[in-house]
Amino acid sequence: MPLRKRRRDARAPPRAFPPAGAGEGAKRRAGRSTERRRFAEGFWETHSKEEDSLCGQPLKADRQLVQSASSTAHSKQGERQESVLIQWSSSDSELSDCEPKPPATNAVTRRRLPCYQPVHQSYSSYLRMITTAKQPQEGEFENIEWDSDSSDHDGSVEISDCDSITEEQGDSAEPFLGDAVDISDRSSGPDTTASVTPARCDMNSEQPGRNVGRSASDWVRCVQALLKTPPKQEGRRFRTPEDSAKKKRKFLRGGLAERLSKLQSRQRSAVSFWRHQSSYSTHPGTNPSALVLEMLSVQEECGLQLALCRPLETHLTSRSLGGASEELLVLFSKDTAVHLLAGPGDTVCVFPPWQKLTLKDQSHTVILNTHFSQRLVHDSKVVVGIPRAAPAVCPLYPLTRLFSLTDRSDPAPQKTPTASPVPPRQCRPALREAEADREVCNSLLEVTEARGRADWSARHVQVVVQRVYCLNIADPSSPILLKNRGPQSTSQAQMMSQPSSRVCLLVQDSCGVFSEVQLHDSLADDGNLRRYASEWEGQRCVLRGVKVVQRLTRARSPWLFSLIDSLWPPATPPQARGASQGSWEDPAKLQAPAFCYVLSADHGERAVQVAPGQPSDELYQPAVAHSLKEILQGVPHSQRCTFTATVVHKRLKSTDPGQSEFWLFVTDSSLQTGQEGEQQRTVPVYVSSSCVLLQEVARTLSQPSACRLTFKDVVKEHDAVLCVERSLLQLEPLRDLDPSLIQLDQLGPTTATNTLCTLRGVIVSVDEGTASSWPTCTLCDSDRLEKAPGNQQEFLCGLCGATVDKPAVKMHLEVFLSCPPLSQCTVKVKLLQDTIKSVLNSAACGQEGYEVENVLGVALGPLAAYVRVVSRQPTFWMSLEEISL
Amino acid sequence: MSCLSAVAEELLRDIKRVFAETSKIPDDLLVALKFVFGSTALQALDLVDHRSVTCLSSPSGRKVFQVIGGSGKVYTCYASCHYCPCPAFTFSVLRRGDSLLCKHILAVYLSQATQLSQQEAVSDQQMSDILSGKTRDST
Repeated sequence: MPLRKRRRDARAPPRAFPPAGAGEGAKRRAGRSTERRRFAEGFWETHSKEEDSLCGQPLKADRQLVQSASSTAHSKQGERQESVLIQWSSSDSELSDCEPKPPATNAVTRRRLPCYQPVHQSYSSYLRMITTAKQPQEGEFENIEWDSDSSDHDGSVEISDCDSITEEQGDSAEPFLGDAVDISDRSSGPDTTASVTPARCDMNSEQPGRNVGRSASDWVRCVQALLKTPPKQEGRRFRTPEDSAKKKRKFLRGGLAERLSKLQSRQRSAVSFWRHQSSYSTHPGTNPSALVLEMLSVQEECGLQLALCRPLETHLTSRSLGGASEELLVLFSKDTAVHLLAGPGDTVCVFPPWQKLTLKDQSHTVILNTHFSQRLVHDSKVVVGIPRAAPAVCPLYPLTRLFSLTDRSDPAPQKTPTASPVPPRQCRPALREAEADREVCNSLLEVTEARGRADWSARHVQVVVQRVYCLNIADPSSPILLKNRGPQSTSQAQMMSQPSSRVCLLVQDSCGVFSEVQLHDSLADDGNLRRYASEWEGQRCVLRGVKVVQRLTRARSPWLFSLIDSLWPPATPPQARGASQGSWEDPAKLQAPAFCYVLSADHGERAVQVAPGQPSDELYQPAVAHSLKEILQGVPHSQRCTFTATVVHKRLKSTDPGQSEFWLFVTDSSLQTGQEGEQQRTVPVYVSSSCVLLQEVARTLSQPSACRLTFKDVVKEHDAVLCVERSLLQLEPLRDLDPSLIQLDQLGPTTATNTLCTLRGVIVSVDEGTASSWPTCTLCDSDRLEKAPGNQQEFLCGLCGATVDKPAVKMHLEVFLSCPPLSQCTVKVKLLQDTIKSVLNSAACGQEGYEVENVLGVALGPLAAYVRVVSRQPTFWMSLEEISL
Repeated sequence: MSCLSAVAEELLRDIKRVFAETSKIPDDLLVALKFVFGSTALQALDLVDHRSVTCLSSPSGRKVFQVIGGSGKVYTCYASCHYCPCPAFTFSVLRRGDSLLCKHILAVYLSQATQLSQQEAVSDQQMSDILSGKTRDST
């Protein structure tokens, strides 16, 4: 029975709806079969274009249809949207639009929707039948009408029912959406169906006959369109960087904006939830923290409503805020104001959380964050606000009124702008009563605060100079900046970008705060630094014209903080800021500083003036020199230390004194006098390019002779020492250690690369491939000798131009030694000239050179050598280079 | 009755004070910032997060701020008055009076309060060029 079959099953799988007009057509039962056939034909005709012939395979085709339809529909059952989603519509563009549309906006859709609901039902029941995968009953199948099948289709019966209903012109069509709702929800019997359908079918009464065939193809098109990925919209305007209005930038993870955005969304949902709940009347008396206020006047300013209110005495919190006499300035956001619609004379209740802000200048207390507000009437019933006249708009505040972020400055009254470029607000520097000189402050942080003001001027501050050193500082006007600043000559830019060595001071104030002060003097000669160090280091000085250049943190400047850590905790307890003399903090409990300001001072010598007083301030922590043994044993890694040592070997990359990085091997008496094997005899010191070398030091190092240096504030790293930024190398007179008596570690299995050692051995082999000799100029040591024109016996030096008749012969020889402590190891040594000569002297010289056999077995040693390579793969071997100490 | 600007100023001062003590801005101050400044607050904080504010100072003592906006454009804001060449300032602040500040000026204040602004020293000539609008990127 058609009506029976129309019954809905809520558990039915997602349904695809057949095209509209499937049911309309023959109005009479007599014509029904024709219509049925037409519908079925039309539908399957279209569908068979995609699939192979469906004739004779109705079940399979239906399954495919079902699958395709199911995949497009939502998986939820009975979804009203689903019934709207897969909807035939008048134009292709609507096919991909999944939004449910009200019928008023889509008259065309309505037109195309004859008897939608019963056809849908019929199909749904049919699809249900298929997807339950049970053998269709004979009777049912007989009802199916296909192209070639003559059996009646269930759906066709439904269609016919719809046809009959179409005749009835019911009331005006209900909204389409409502139809869909009914369709999906309805699970009752056919009677309901019959009663509801008239209205729907009425929608398509205008075009009864036409839509059968077309609607089937429309449906198929619809399904296909839903299955297809929507094409990329070409020609969409891509957002350019300039399009900042439309650009939506994601907030930085972990940043303030992201945090506020999360707080805001949380608050928004809390407010809307609260508003929904509070419509069921919330009495303010139940909440002790709520404010009950009477509005006195309202103004609008910059999107906010500023209401001057008087707290009503009836409530606790209102009373605690100052009572009836105290006026509160309550700010409401635009959204809250629209919700409240309150005006002067009204009573408003502000529920927590609200915030209070006290204006220092005036006596008003300001209430902020008043999202949870309600307007009350006399008997405390909550009512929806009645629209009132818009509040007066505050005039725009004068743009010259700046925000001062410092607490201490007296707020100046608003002044009219003058012609002078200096801003009108004058700030008085903060004063400490203990200071006799009222211009000088004691705290570095005050100086840094001063820069926050509009018209800050350079400050004077009294500090203790802890260290004096040099730094390579690039000129602040780097080329990158200049590009932004406009047309500047590139040569000027290049000149300015050269880093220069500038004298810097590490200073500390009485509060324990460190700062690095960059002076404007560049290191013209060493005398400056020595003089400054002797005059200022350890003294309490006044820095004049101090300005903040930069703020550094540990992450950005680890070397600076390693130096600061070596001076922490302070020698005297730091004074707490703003406190009187009496309050001290325990230095041991203090944390090392996490930030340090870089300041600049006035030009010239007057930048730093020694304050009269004690010869050395108690806060000063001098760099105490230790012996190398103590340093190797006692100083933890990555800590700063100071020592004096003799340089026994240098490995310079070039002879240029200004060259950046090299290794020094140093030793002192503590290492030399120890027991054999107890401690390493020499310590490698790496001098990096960031360590500024004094000219005399660089000059001395470039000479082959030994020298003695004080390494101040260098970093100990494992068994080596690093000279980095803020380390200082100072020349010392050579004494205390006779270079010729220096002992080195014996070569052994534990010898590491980049160390010095001493070895003895017997030559077992010679590296013949690299053995060579060449003449050099006796004057300049150059190997660019050419035969002198004219005199074949003489040579002309290509470098110095001298004529050499007896050139010096230089030799290169690498030999393999057998060393007793290292029986398993192959030791290869590159010999020095003198050693080569002594070795070859004992060998006979033939016509073509020396015989290898004559060299084998020669005992060498003790030799001082530098360990270049130690390799254990594939065999244990070492490559050494003989050195002379 | 006090103006909103006094409230804003006090709020910024509070932020600065709390940040100096704790090195962070607590949630309640962030919420208050949003309450007072609206959506400008979010955008300004984003600029601060990206360290977009640079304070340029010259030996003559002049100071000016440059803020890199969301689109990459550089806006020059003054230290002596509230002015920004961005369109938002012209419309929202000057014409409609919807906002107290534009996001760039607020970012300048917040960067100062949190000491997250970059510092650069420029020569007097460069400062003159910036202030007179001769440079390419400043408006």
